[in-house]
Amino acid sequence: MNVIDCRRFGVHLHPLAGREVDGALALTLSCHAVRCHDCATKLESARRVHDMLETAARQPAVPPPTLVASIMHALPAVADRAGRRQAWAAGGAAAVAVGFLGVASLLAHSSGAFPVAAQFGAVRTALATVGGFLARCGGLLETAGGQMPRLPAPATRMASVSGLWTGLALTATGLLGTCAGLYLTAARYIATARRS
Amino acid sequence: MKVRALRPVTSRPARQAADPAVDTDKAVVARVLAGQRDDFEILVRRHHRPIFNYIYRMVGHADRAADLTQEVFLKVYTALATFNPSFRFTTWLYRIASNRVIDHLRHRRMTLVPLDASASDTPGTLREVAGATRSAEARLLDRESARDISHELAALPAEYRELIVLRHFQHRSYEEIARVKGSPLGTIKNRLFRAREALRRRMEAR
Repeated sequence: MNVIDCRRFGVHLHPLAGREVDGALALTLSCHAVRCHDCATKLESARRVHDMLETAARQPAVPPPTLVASIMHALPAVADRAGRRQAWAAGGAAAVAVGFLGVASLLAHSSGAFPVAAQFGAVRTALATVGGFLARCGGLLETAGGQMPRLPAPATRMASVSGLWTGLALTATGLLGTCAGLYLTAARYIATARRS
Repeated sequence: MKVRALRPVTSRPARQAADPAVDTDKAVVARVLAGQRDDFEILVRRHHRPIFNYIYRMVGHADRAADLTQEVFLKVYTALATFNPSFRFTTWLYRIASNRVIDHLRHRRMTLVPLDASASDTPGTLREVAGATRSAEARLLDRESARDISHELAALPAEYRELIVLRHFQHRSYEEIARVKGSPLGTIKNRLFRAREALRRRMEAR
């Protein structure tokens, strides 16, 4: 039989008190407790705590009887909010992308990085990319809508649609900004050409 | 935006009748994700009591525990698509509940109300489940003992209290507690040892 010291006994004190150890180890620990008064006292108090915890665990708290109903009642509103958040995120991302495109277009022209014709070509390509991005956002929304567990589907769908419209409005604003930027660039180019 | 593709957890048909006795949590989750939204109620009915109890032991206030339980299930509902079926549903559920409770305690820095047992069966009061055949005196002693330990438990730091609640009141295994807390098994065992020691010393000092 292995002889253990008080330090090792302390490590196993609570598992022993909670009857989580058995066999040879439990026997060794018990033998130590018989010889060591301090450890025996500790074991006794630990057992008392474990028994009290066990007793307390037999007295669970009673949840309100309406808890399940209130959870189920709150689900549609939560799904609604989550759907709207996703739609906002997609629309916002699209608007930021378009706005970034407009700024990049202006900066590229003012620095003379590329001629206007090439710039228009680049903008056309970028717009096509943004179009693809928007379509992707639409797809994501649809997927997200499909994944979001929702009880009354119409409520969430309406939320997604309203979010989508908001997103589209933001995107349209971004597009208008881009057009204005392009118009200013073209006007400046024409004025320069006339002057020369 | 990261959206995971839907993956059926089981191969059973989506419209198969749900038998609560054999219906696993994962199967119910799969059905909810497949479109049977009403089946979420099965999960709520199955787990709301232990989750309420866990939160009640942590915050010590019945109304607040009910509110937090509701928030936990709403979070579960909206995040259901992110549930990884390779883990147990209860582990995921307790992790969400644990995060919410710790967050709540951190923000509120609330004063804990000792859990008290009273004669009425109002929400949040403690009810003895296994002591129906015990004598009135024994039940009274049990109730006093439960009140004492609950009082001392409420005075422990939240981190310690949570581990004791998960282990001794929710009967979670060490491994599951480690997964719930996202900590190594050794760390959890070590912290639980310290938590029990702190509780034992407090009880000794009474």
